[in-house]
Amino acid sequence: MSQQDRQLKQVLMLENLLHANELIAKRINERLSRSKTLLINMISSPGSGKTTLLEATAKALGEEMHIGVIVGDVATQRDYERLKTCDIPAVQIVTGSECHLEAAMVEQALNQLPVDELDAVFIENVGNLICPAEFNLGEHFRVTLLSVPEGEDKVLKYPHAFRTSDALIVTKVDLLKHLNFDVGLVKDYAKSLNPNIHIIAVSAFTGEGMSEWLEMIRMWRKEAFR
Amino acid sequence: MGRRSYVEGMHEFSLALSLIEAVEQKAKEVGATSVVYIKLRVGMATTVVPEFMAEAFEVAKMGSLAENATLEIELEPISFLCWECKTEFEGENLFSRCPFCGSVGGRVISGDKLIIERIEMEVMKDEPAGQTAQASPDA
Repeated sequence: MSQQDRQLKQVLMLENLLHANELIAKRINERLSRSKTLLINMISSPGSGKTTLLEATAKALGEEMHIGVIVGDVATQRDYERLKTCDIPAVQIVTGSECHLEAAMVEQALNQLPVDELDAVFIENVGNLICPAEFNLGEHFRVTLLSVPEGEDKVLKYPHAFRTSDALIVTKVDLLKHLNFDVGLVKDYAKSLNPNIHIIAVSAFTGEGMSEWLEMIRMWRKEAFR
Repeated sequence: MGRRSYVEGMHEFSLALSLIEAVEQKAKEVGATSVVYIKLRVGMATTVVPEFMAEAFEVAKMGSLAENATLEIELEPISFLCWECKTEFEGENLFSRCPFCGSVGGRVISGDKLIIERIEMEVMKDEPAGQTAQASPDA
């Protein structure tokens, strides 16, 4: 076949690059809405306390709700092992080289959970404040955690996750007495990205703010399935 | 997928793979033999670094119908609707100030997406334009 046999053809696509991910995310959201299972996507840097907050949440809600967890990590099953001891169904996704979770991975993980029996599933995203912000996982609500030792400026440096979240949980607030961290400043930064964001200051260690966080989960369940 | 293992911890690479998948699907639909040009619009409110995207694309395209394609990336500014005075304005980052009232940020109207704008492909001559090719087994 020679060059003369071919011709150029232009096509206007105007297609969202994440179209395929969005389709799966929509399917996940519809499925969980049918079974009235609240799906929460938790994003943060490594070490800001996602697993600890989830452990405390599982303990506090144990009597009241059936919850499950999907844990994403680049390597190891450590977080999975920790959450397993809380006596809740958990699925570990080891992403290998990926710095974030995508909807297809979550859909597969959901197949390993007794979704119909669960009131809420928490997704512990890969520890990373940048990449996960770009990927809709079909969640009803998105939460970003920022721990006190990380500093207020992380909202300015990595604004995407905060902009797209329904709540910002400032974690490890028991450390406020040792560190220079201005919660008010974080609120100002986050509100300029997203005025509707709920901001809760929590210490899973002392229990401070936990009741507010749990109340929000209850409120979200009502909001998502009314 | 062998190509997946290349760039570790860089979401631009998985986005570049999604780009190739979407473009290949379109090429198969119209029965193209190859893709020679892709124009991608990267919103400035996304997390994508254009240089990384360009680099990832060079690897992701290997062995695909877009193997010889050039990628053009156009940065799209963010359009805001000011939280305070509700005026529309453009900015280059999420903390841009409204030029009318000076307050920071606003609701993002556009510039928060990655849009495959258009592609150019090679097709066999005499093939009626827009004809749908046979679905490939892996599509």
